[in-house]
Amino acid sequence: MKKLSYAEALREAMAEEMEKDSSVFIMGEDVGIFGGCFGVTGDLVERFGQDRVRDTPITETAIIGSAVGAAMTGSRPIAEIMFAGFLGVPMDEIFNQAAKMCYMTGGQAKVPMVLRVPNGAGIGAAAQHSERTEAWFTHIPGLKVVYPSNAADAKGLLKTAIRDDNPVMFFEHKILYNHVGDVPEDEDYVVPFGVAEVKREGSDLTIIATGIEVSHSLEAAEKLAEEGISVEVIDPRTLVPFDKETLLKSVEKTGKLLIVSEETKRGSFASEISAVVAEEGLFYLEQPIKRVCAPDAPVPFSSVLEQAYLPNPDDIVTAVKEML
Amino acid sequence: MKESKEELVKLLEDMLVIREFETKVQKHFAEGEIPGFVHLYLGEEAVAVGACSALKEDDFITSTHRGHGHLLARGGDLKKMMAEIFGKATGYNKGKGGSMHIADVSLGILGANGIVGAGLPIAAGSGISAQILDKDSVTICFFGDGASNRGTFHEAINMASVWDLPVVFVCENNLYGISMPQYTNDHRKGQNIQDVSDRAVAYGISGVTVDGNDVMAVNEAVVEAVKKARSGGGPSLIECKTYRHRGHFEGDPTVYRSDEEVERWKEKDPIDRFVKILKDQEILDDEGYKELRNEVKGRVEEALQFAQESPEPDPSEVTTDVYYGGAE
Amino acid sequence: MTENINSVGIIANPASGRDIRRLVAHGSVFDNVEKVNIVRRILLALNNLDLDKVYIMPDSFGIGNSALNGLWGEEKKNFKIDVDIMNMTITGSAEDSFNAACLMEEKGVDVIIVLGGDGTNRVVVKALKNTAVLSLSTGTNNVFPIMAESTMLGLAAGLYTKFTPEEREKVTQPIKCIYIIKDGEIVDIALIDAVVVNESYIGSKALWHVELLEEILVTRSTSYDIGMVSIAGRLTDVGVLDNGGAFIRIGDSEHKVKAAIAPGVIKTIPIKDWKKIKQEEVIELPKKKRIIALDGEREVVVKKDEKLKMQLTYAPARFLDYKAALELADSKKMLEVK
Repeated sequence: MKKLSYAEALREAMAEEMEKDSSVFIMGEDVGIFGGCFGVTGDLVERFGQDRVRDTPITETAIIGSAVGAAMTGSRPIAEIMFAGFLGVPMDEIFNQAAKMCYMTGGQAKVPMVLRVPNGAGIGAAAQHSERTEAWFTHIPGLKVVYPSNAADAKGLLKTAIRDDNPVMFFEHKILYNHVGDVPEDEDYVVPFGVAEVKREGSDLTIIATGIEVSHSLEAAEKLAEEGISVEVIDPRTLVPFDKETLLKSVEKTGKLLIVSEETKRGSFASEISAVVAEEGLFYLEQPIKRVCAPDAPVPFSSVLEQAYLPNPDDIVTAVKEML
Repeated sequence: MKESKEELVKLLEDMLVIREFETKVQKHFAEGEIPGFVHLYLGEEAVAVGACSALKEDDFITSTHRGHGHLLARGGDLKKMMAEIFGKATGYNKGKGGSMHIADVSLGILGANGIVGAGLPIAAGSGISAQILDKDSVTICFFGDGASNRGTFHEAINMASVWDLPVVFVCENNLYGISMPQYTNDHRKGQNIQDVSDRAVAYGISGVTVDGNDVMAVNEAVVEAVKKARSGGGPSLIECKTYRHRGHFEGDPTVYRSDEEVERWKEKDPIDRFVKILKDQEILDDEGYKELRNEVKGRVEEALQFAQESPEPDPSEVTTDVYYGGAE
Repeated sequence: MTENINSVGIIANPASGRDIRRLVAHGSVFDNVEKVNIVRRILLALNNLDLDKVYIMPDSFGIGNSALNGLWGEEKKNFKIDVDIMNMTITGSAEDSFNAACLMEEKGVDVIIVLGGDGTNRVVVKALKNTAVLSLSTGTNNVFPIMAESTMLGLAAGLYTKFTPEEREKVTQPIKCIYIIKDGEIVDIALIDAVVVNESYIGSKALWHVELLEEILVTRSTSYDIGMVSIAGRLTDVGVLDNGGAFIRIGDSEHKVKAAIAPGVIKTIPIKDWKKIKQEEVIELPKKKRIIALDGEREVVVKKDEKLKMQLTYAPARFLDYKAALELADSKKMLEVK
């Protein structure tokens, strides 16, 4: 194990895959000499050159559209869109091109591409630069959707994403970039898709959380433990494919489910999780499912407003207590 | 430029295949045998044939909703094509794509796109692959005058120019985006310039306009653009002025254009013109032309029969091929 | 024919300036918006000269209308010329320029301003019997038309309409041309050069494969003109106003010259032999399947049994020297305000 930040872990994943496979390349706005808006690509341009770490013009549509074309012709592009709030711009390229190409061609076309997106609020960036859009993409057949919550998963999941033969939406939480964690040193270390991780075992209630809310939930669970409340915390790690079994098993054990997500609540992936449990695990439940999400409003700018807006560990503690 | 008798007759044959194939599709769509939308390539044959005949085997193209001609010009299998248009299991796309998305990926066709203008960034990406994988492949991107008003046109050509990507952007200017004229003297028009090639200057690339109903002129221009792209000279924009004999799709009442206009363009029919040249040059006589047509008709007839007799897809196929290589 | 009316014609070819030479050479691009601008400047210049009428060739882009529609404010209020965008069928081909020139001559215009390249001018001159032309280059590697500011051309053309026949003779020049004669019939003309090419097809028209050149007949031979005529420029001097021309045969030879055959394209050409030819001389060519390129564009298909001749002669039209016209006008104080 070595200590790496989430951003360094992502960089290491890309560097290792680029060393191994010359068809892997990176493109995006300011990913070269600038090192990426959040410093994720860092010095990769010095190591791999401008051809393989391509600084693009401000051209989201062409970034994603050309990633599709490059992927169909033997390359493995890793495209970066600077903020999740920018994903509305190349939406056609994602949902009509990347996602549907394999199906529309009857399984002929392969589109192995990764779309890396800094996701989430908390940095005072206001409504357009703080979006959480993962749910949009879980709705689109043909895409895989990944959302690591820590450095080790960031590395392992990104390596799996780069090797996958399908388009992968890879969401990274901005606040997590500087979080340091233990990352396995083995070059073959990968995290498979569709395998949730039970981050903390417990018996009174199940929390399933995504992205930064995994840390918040673990913090809440720690506080609750001091009061004798035993909470199980699950991180699905990938939203598509989604590991239903791990969740259902936990709900069967605890009988209570709290879903925590930074998304706005209506139509969120939290809603999808609750639908899955309602459909397949209703009789495990002793009481209604509860969701802790952001309110159905855009992300505000003022730090007072933003803090009021975002789910935090105290909100989670309160919600758990309401359920017990 | 194509000079030998074999090359020239092949150009004619390829155009005839499109003409006969599309005429057959037109008939059987009208008879209710073909579901969905079909957009026929009739009248534009010289563009696909002139352009695709400039390519090598390992080159690529991106196609459009009006894409039968591109696939045929690239050597697509008539039977698999007709079966796909009929929505059959034996079709290129196993009945999952249909007329608008018909493609043979193994022939370097990067999808036929139902979203106008979506092929341009994809073509740019194929150009990036040539650089990443160090190959000398060239990609031809077919698109229409309507697509040239989309942001994808601007973004893709800009990107291709910035990186000198080996892409030839071939604009099939058939003068209408459904009912919207590409250019007129009043305000109901797609753009305020008459020649899409004028836009090349804005991206720092070469732009030319050629007679899109002259297969030799198209071929000559695309050969030069491909040569330039292959040798690192970057992208070009070639505008081919042409006309669709039919409406935007089958069933389009074409209230937006006059019969006289259609007749004027039919006088410039790309096949008739090329046949005349070949006859004048004594490369083909009446007998030879008749033979060629009958042979092509026979092949199309066989394809039709294959499609009609092919099985429907199994309903279990609905959820296969969502992900490459199997489940999610 | 309408008498005692001062009128000018304008033929602006919407298709010039975008052929394959932007790809195979480095030809400049001439978009139609700039042609509209040029026509507007000509109209504004003419508006100062109490002209009776301006005829403009209609075209599918609507260059004439756009030029007028772009006038605003004081300019528009003060614009008095009767502009007639002629009523004729638009075919979108070279036929339009030809038909427009014929119609303008019928209307009795004094001079026609042509915006286009050598190709456009060739067609216009072919149509005219006695009208003067003033040609502004908006095409590719042109020799015939001039590069100049269109406002000055507008003034020159407007002043020309007020000159006496003797003065008109003085400020215009004869136009040499080559008749292409197939089986005894004149099928086309060239203004600068007629080139025999060992090809069978017109294709994208422009000529740039020098390996296929066989014979070249030129109406002028200067050290500075671009195009196929540039080959002649290496060998001899024949000015635009001199009688005569030159005939060159290309092919295997120790004698090689460098010639600028297209913008940015300089090729080495082997000269088999060459000779000066006299005005009105006829050159007979061997019977053979070939293409004749006129002023740089493949135009005429010759079948193997057709008899081909070329004759160096004068076209009936004359070329207006705009500088001479403006100088004459100043000497007559025509632009002095009383």
